[in-house]
Amino acid sequence: MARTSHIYQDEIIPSPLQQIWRNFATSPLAMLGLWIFAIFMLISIFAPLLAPYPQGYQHSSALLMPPSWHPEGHVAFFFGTDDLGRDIFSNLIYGTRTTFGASILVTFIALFFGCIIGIFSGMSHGLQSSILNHILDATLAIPSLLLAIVFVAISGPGITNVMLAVGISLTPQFMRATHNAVHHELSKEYVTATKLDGANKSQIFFHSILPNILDALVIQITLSISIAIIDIATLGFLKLGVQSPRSEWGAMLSEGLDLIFLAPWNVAMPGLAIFCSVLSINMIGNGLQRALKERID
Amino acid sequence: MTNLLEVNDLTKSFHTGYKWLIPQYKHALGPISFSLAEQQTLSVIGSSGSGKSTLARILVGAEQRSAGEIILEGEQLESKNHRQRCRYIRMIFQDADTSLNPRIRIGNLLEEPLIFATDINKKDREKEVYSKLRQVGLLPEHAHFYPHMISGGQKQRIGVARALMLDPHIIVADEALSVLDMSVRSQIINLLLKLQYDMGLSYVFVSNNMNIVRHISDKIMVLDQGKMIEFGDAKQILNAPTNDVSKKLLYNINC
Amino acid sequence: MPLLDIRNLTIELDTPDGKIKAVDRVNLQIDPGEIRGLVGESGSGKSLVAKAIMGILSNRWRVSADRLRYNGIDLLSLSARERRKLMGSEIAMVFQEPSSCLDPNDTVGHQMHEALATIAPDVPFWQRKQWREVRIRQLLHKVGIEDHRHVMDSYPNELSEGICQRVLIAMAIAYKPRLLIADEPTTVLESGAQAQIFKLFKKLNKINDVSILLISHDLEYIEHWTQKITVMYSGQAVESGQTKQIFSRPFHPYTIALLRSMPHFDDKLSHKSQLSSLSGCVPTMQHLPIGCRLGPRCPNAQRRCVEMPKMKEKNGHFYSCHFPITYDNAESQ
Repeated sequence: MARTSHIYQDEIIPSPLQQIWRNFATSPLAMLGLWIFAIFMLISIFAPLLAPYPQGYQHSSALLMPPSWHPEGHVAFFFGTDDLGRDIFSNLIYGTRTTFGASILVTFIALFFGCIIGIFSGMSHGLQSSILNHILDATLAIPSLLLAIVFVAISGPGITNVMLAVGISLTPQFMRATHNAVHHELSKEYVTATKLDGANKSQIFFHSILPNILDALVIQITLSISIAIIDIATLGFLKLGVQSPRSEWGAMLSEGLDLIFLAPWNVAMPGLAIFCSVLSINMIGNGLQRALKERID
Repeated sequence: MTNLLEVNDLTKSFHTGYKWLIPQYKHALGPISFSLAEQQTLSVIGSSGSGKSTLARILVGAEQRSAGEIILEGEQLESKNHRQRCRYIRMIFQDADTSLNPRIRIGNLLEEPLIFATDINKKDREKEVYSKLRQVGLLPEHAHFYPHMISGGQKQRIGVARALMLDPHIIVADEALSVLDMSVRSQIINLLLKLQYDMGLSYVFVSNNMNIVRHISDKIMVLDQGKMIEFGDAKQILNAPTNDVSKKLLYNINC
Repeated sequence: MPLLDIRNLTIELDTPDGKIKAVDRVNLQIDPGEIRGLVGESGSGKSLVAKAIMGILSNRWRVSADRLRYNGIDLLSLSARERRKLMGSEIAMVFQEPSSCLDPNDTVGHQMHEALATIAPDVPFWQRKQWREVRIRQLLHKVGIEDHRHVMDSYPNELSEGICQRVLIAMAIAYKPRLLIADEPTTVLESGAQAQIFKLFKKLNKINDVSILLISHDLEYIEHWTQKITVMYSGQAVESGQTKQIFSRPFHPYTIALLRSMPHFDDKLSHKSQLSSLSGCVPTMQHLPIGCRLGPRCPNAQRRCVEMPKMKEKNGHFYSCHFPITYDNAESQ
């Protein structure tokens, strides 16, 4: 249906998406989160172009240099170097790809699989639904980090295994959220009306249910991204993640831990990066929740 | 005069759980039999819990009957075949707020029955939607609105338009007017009466408002706790109810 | 002196499109011991008026009035704390959906104890609970609930709506208010329960001398249970006066249309004929007409109606219309 309006020309009817964006944009914190998120995304995409030095390159002449704002620091090594002479700034940028970029990828893969399973279980009725419900509840009880550690311990360290492990541990949450949302929608009157219009199951889903479960899904996505970042960083910290020379925020944290009194910037910089990324996701999640709630009022 | 709708010994029992592994059932609607001809309005009245909403939902297909048969225009109705059923008998829901999908534009909402149950192409669908909107007293521009932008009375008109979409012969209205204000109610009643006259529709009207029932019905059925205690010509029952329960219902207007 | 005196009450809302007057200069007066009806469709602003009296409107709404006095006290000049004290002891309110006003997680008895918690009787503190039990029993009997033990031990979802509404009225009258505001108290109830609630209001009015402001959209009940009514349309008060007078000789076209839309009012209607009704619908807040808001729909509207008509009076019967229906002949319109 085209957007023509002969009588109410002074009114442009905003679609629900535009309405949500307007509500979201009124909160400065949420917009700040969005900007930081966008900056991190750009860094992870254009990492090789932005980093001054290649990954893991050791400058034997500049060991443990302090950050550039310190009187002994040098602007060429913006955030300083670690005990092997590797530039922290470049490693942080490459690490964005690993920690941040991988967590987003993992979340979307978990979303895809989790949603499919959740939709099928949500649309079922009776005994089938009951069984699937209980199985999903059981999978939620598995602690995500423990599962990831066990998986990596079995199949060895490396970025692919880490991503697989975190992905598998995130999928039950998506399954559960989708299942609940779909099940809740099935009891609504307009779905009954669609059924009475002669729709089969897939038509009911795509026409009536899907537009209404997007809220719950989006909130679950933001939650999962922040969990994924922390999980990947934790696995790196436990030295179960990527191995050097590839850099990763958690691994940088654990390597810098021995030097915390001598050279605190080794720990502070990766820690700040993790902190900012998780904070930005949480701010976006809060802003979205508020925007979605306001739209109903 | 052939009967448009014939119902014989319709019963409904709800499953209420298990006792010692034996499923328990609650008998909600006793054997109900009635018939409805063209351009007739049947009003179903009863206190709350008497099963009138259940009867309305079974007729339209939102719930399945436990026993009995429904014959539409001489053909037996299968329990689950919604596609077949929706061309003959459609429903106007009680609460227009919850029965319209809040995320879809009204035009797309009204197109749905046409998409699901027919093979009409897009252009003809649009024309059909605009013509039905005009018929219920709204403008074609309303097709671009979302449900939360229009008033309660207009939402109920959209409900009527949706029920008219596949040109049915019988429309079931499950307390469709009870949440509306009085002036809006009269407008919708006028609309329904006009449609009945123009299109030859029959109505099954579930309501508790005796004044409306008095005004528009040809036949009345009185339900009490799932049992049909009276069925017959409207004037007859209104002037001389035979049962105590019917008397209490019909004359309980002024307190 | 009137118990509640409201003059030119205006409630405005700030929107991106400008200030919208949801309620436009409404006058209302309630004398002690009187049941007054406030009639209007949904969207007429009657709930807003009730909430403005109680002071429970959110910050988005701006309330202003020439006079908003309860028993001589100006409500707009009170601080929040003083207002709360006044609300607790003198004015009470009952809302539309009774089961949603009660906490579903708590038994009714426990909630009634909570409701009475701030009354300070003259008994020592170890006897207070006992005193409250006795008082709750008295209140429940007063509102017509005989089986108080069963009601007090039940959760709200186990009780019917009629009983929930009576429990809420009991909580409302616990503090012996002088004014009870009932915002569509019987809309969701069945007709039998509705009758009982109205009888209860009448009893409270006669025996305890409680004034009642009854807000409703259903004219059939208003006619029987109120002494004076005010009719509102789209935020404006269009007619007000004695119930009998308004029902027998309404002046304003909107009142006449409302009365006509009740099927049993005009018995000359034949079976299945068209009911008389005003065409069009209530204007939305974004498209309020200037001047008299009934203008676009009114069958008698003329050019002068873009000017807001002033409130005129005739024998205690107030109306605001440039072209009211007059009864010069014996036949009414």
